[in-house]
Amino acid sequence: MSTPKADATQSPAQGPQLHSGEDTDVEDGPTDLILVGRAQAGESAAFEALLLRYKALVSLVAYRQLGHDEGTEDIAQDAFVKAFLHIGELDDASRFKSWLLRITANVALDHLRKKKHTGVSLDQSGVYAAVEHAAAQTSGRSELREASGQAMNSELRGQIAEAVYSLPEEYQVPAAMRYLEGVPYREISRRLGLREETLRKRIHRANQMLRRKLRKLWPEGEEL
Amino acid sequence: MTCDECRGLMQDLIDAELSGAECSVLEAHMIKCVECARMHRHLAKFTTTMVKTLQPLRTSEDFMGKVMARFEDSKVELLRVRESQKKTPVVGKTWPVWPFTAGIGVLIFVALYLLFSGGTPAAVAALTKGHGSVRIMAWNGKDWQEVNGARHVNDGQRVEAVEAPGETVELDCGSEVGLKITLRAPCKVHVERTARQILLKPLSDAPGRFFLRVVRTGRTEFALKSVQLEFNLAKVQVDLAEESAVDVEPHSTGSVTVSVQKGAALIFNNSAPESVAEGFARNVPQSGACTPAVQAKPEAFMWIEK
Repeated sequence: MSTPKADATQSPAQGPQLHSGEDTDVEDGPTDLILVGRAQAGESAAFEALLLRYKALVSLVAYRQLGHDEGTEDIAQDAFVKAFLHIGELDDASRFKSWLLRITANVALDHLRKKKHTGVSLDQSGVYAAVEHAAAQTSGRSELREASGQAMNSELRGQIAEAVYSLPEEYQVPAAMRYLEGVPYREISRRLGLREETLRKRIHRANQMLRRKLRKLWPEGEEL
Repeated sequence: MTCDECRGLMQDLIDAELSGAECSVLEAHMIKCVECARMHRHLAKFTTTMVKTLQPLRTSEDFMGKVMARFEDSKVELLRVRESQKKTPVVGKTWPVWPFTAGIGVLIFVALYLLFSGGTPAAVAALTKGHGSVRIMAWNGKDWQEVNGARHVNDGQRVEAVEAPGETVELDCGSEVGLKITLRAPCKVHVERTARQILLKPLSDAPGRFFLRVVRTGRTEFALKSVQLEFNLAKVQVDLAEESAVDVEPHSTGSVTVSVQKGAALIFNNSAPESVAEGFARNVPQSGACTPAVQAKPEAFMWIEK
């Protein structure tokens, strides 16, 4: 475990200070640049490391594009396979993340075209379409209430996914790993090659930003 | 323990990142402090709801195994296809050397001819409507100069239609590509073609308006994947593999409005791409988030009919 007491004197309200303090921390694990270089040389472990690093964020982007979780994992798989097959064509290895997310969005778009899906995301189609989608998964009126509940969850998921995705770059991946996959701090810091203390600050800061972005959903305790 | 210390560790407590002793100290403080206890309840509710809501997006346990297995299979398949494309040498038969020598000679001659004649860039599209007031411009090393009588726009050239505002100009990339571009004057656009993309770069002094129509029938140029309109950082991409009809309007403010009549389009600036589905319209700024999708207005496509 980290040594959280070292930071205990800082109030959570001191968000920006946490952030600026973090800038002095040095990453001590392999960066994307190194991992992509190794992957381009054909090293399997590098592919696996990239996969562990980005699978949560890729799932989130796939969901964001589709507007529902059905097929999200297939899109994520397709995106990784496609990216790995073409990794040799990536000239600027430091752009791996945005390149991978672009591939994910393309794969999701192809999927939507094949399915002849007209709405793309919840911000476009809203709760109504989500109810329709959920209702389509069930049969009979007795299950309509359940379908409606699923739709509300889906709407909420959409808003949370959007909020995580809109975080600044350095917070997106740790937040996705922590809140989507439930990965412990130590494992996240290992996967990202970050010091545990840096990671801990990033997760705290990400949580703070998410609470601000999702204030409408949890109006109580805004001061946190 | 002070309230500030307690609140600094609250997230770690909820994330189960504290030792038993640390948990006890925090809990003891919260028994005495009503405000910290309230904050803890709120934070715990927020975090657990977020985790619970996102849970369905978790990948399966064997996700990594599945991806790596599919990756290995695809690699093998790719290698097999590449191998089968290579010519297999015929054992025991000696090929005459002269045809190869002659071939190389011809190639050198063609290369030298292209080098000294300035080369002929590949035609990207033919001008099929609006010849009168349209000028095709080429870079002569010093400035842009009109190519007299040109009926085609080549890679690296510009189309300028500024004399008759409101007039439409049509460019046809040929049935093998399946792309027709209609642009509305006043418009100046730089046209490029790479191995995989046709690029349209409107100039800010006359950005015009574009209608990109993709027809798949008879398409043979499969290496060409998409057409992309770039208005500085705001970009719109339309896949050439799917039937599409997309209206793209760059504005003097720098943003670009994209309305999809048929098919879909990808939009992006300095962030990850998003999509615009059929019947919807979105606005792409030079940076930051694109606007949410709204129903495309029928008027967006009327200028084509005119």
